[in-house]
Amino acid sequence: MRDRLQELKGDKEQMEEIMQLNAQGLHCPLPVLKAKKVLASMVVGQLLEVSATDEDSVRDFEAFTRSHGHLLLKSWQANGVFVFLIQKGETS
Amino acid sequence: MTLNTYERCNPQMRGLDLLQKIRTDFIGIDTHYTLATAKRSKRHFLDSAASTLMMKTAQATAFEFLNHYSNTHSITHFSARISTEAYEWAHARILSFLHADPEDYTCIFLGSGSTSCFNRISKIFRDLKPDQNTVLISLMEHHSNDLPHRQHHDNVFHIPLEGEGRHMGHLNMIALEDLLQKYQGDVSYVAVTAASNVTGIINPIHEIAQLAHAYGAYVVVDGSQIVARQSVNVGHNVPHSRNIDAFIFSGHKVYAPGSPGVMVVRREVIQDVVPTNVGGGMVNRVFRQSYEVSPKLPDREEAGTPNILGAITLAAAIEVLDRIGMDIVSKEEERLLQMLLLGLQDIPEAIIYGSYDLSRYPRVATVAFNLAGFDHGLLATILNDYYNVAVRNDCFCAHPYVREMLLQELWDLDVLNDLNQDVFDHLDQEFIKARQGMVRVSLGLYTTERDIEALLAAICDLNSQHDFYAQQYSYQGNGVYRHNEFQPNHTSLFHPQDVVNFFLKNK
Repeated sequence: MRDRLQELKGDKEQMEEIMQLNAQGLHCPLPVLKAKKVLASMVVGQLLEVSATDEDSVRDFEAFTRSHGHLLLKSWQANGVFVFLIQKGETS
Repeated sequence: MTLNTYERCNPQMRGLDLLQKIRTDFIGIDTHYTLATAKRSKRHFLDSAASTLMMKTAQATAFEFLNHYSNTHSITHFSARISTEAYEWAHARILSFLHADPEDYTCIFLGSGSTSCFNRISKIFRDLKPDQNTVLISLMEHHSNDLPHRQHHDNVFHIPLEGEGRHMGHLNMIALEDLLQKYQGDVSYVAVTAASNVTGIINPIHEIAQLAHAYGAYVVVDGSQIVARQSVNVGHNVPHSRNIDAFIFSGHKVYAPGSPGVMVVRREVIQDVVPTNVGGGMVNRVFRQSYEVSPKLPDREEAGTPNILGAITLAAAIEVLDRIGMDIVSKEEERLLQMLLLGLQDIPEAIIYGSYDLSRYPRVATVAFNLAGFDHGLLATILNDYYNVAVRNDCFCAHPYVREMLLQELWDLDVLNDLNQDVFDHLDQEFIKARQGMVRVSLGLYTTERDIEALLAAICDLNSQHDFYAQQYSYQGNGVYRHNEFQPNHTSLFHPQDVVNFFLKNK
């Protein structure tokens, strides 16, 4: 029981942490592949923020999250950097 | 040698009879190479989308013409007259072949390949409509019908295709109309290919023209992949709004290597635009401080000595195609395409790109595919080295299109069995490059059932011996594989100096 509580506590801490991935300077399909690797290590519901400079990554992350069961919560651009906030889904 | 010494076929011969007669009359159809197995065999040339073999009739016409060769732009001596008239005939022959009325259209020969033509038409529209700085192009364009527009206009947007990923079809007409509405008043022209150089999928160019014209945009069509394969009607459509404003192709796709790029363009579009290439042959008078450009088309757009020999060679090849009849050419090609597609579909590991529902998305005979377990470079190299099948691989100068069709496969790379964590951690562009491409098979007039059978048999055979073949090759980077032992010296097969030496020695 104590172990299970510890496990849940760990999950909660992990949930609150926003993972960061710097994919700037990488070209398709590497930003998505790197994000996919990080997402695989995350728990369902956790957030990942990816920054990229490849213009194609805008369409890529829209399509990738849609086809792999994740949620693209928000995306924005600032100073030539594209940022994507992704919530890990259950079916990835 | 004069024309009388050639064994001439009946000049009245037309249709399928003529096609059967000339099918083997291509230079290189009997080329043999020694393979990695040490066996010598005849090449199966399945790379016609890149460059076709040369039609012997076109070559014979060129050789015969050389007896009279002289520069054009003169009608004084016999040879100059012959050259000038033959060069003018080449223009007229191409207009007629494309159903483009010479009253409305002009034919311009430019550069080698279609790239010069696309650069020129982009600059023409930039100068004709300087306030309209947006160009719409389809996602499936060859770089030659993409980058020139980016170079000469502020905004270039890609029009999506129907379907998704590897199952995409032709241009999405609804998406085109959405873009035309969104940028209404600012779209200078729409540039699309008539048929993809990657998948062979055909775009509905006349429907595209009608829609673009309704929004005040011109239409440029890349005809490189269709002109030798299907009948083209540039300027005799009903209603006229379905006509094409500029149709561009290259002679090296029409059985006439060494011939120029061709732009058939509406006179109204080009008549008042100042030429950017200046020099001899396009001026009436030149003074120390100024010059007077000739109003005559195509002269004003063909500065300098033209590729006279190439233009005549090309027009001769087109004459033969016209005599066969493009309906017969396309029917024959469709028969072989069906055979190829059905054969590939029977191979479970084969992944065919682009929708192959031919009733919905017709194609010319070009098919891009991959074989699970083989990188595209390895597959194409094995087909060459062990089976003498010449195909092309990589991205075929259409990166955005190829990328879009491969995306899901590339995203799945991390779940491949041969990828462990260490490899993933060192993933780099080189690793991707080996997998970011396809193998393309493309047919020509000389392609036979035997060529298709040889290809399909080779794929089945190599697919059953994956480990053997994988061990024979080393990855060289940039998608290239090289056989560990079989590295023939290509200069021993042909080197220009050897031919020069041979002829001089035998003088």
